[in-house]
Amino acid sequence: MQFDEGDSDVTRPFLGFGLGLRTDHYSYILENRPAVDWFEILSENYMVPGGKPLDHLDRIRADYAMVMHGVSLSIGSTDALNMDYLKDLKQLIQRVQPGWVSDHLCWTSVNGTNSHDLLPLPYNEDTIAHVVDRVVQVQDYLGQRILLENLSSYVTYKSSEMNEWAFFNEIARRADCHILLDINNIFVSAHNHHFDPLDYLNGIDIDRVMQFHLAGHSSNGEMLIDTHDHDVCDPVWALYGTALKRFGAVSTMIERDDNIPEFPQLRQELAIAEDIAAKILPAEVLAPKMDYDRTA
Amino acid sequence: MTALRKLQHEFLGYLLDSSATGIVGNIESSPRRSAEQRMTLYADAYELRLKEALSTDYERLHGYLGDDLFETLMQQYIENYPSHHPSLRFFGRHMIDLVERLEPFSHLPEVAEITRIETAFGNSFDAADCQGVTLDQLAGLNPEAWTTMKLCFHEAVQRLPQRYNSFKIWCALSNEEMPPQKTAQETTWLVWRQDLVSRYRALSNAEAAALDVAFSGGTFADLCEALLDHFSEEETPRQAAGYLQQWISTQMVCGLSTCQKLG
Repeated sequence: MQFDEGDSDVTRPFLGFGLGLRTDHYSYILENRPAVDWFEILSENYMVPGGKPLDHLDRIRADYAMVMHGVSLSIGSTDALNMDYLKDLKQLIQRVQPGWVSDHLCWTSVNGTNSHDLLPLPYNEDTIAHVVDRVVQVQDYLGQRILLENLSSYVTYKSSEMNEWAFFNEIARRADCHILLDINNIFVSAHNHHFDPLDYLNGIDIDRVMQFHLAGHSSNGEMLIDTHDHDVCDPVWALYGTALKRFGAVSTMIERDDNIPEFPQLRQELAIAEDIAAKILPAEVLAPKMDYDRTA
Repeated sequence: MTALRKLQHEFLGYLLDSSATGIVGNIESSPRRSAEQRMTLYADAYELRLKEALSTDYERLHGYLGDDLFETLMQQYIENYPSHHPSLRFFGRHMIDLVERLEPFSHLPEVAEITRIETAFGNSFDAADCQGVTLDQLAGLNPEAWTTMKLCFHEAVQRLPQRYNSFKIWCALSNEEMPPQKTAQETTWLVWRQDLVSRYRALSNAEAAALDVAFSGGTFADLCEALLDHFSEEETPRQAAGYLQQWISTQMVCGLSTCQKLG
């Protein structure tokens, strides 16, 4: 597959290079104020009444830019939108004042029961219409555009009528939302479903992409599993470099959810992303620029 | 029902009960991986994720029961209490209901008590914050206001009446020590949060009685009356004021309602 470099003149907010905020690192961050451009928080971890989670959040937010990333919006569910959840989410947005808010292009619950997993949708016109309608409702309620992220998936539905990137792109266009492109998930799904990851990258509108995720995965022999418990592997770094060439400077972060290393080690891994970007993009486009208060 | 809704029902149905294989017919098989094998990945991840949540919330209960019994408990919980909250944080909140009705746990009263302890600490950890009442505010009250004064406690404050030495068992497990044998030991324990840290202590019978009155909406005068069962008429006001002072100084009280505005 030929790689399409696209138009890298797109102007988008650029936060720089960030990490997922994890409880294991609270003390280190508060004591050392390490040099990281921003943190991504898992929204649900802070949708609690009070106590330490919110206290830590406020103290870290005072010094760092943040974005919010959720796992329970269930945008593809056929249940009604969970307005209690959205109300809590909006309240957290008001508290954090994040650069942006994201969740996944998936469904997580139906009939009021939560799977607590990111479950794939069939890629067809009916699903597009269903999801677009809900994204519009969510964006209207929150008063801002959201980002949707691609999953790692392990099944293909017989009712799918198009590939994932065409489905994803069409939803983003029609709902006028942004895209959080998870480079590792593209790699994992490409392996599991036998497609070329470059087809995926080339199929995504450049100006919709606001953020990249990087992560590690594991293998069960035949399938790759999105476990976030390893370092980012070399082929995913290579794919990240390719993505930078197509999309330009995109705020990038590493997700680590299990087997979490000490903060300095994770920070070193983020430096690999910074190095790759520095070799591909001019320094002036890699200076964080964002039209909002980086510290609350 | 739309095709998408039917598919989601079948998918979730398989996660809840892998004998409900309706979803499999919707999934493409590949030469090296059947549709059912692919769905198994999701079913395994579902179970693993919920077990991780329960193991985190009930770590000491796990330690007390051992791996096999705790595994049985988790399996039963997952089957009987599917998650109806978007956050895993609240998935295990019905554990006490299960241990009180499921054998053999229902015959082991200390298991319910340890479960209540762990649930109380979970509740305390992220209970809503409140601006605590200060001793200065208390000192600013007119003497007449004391009689009608009612207390509002921080949500983290929980009383745990126990019939066995379950708190000592819990403490030993927390310290990774061999837990003591179960013995009858009636004590009411208090769990609360001070400076964002959850704390606990045993209550004397008198303080437990005073807290019971205060929690049930009684006035300070009612509280003093309850303490007459424990102290002389001369001692009672001093003891009651002492309790109140301690509750306030340890950030347990988030509101006083009186006929007088607080200064």
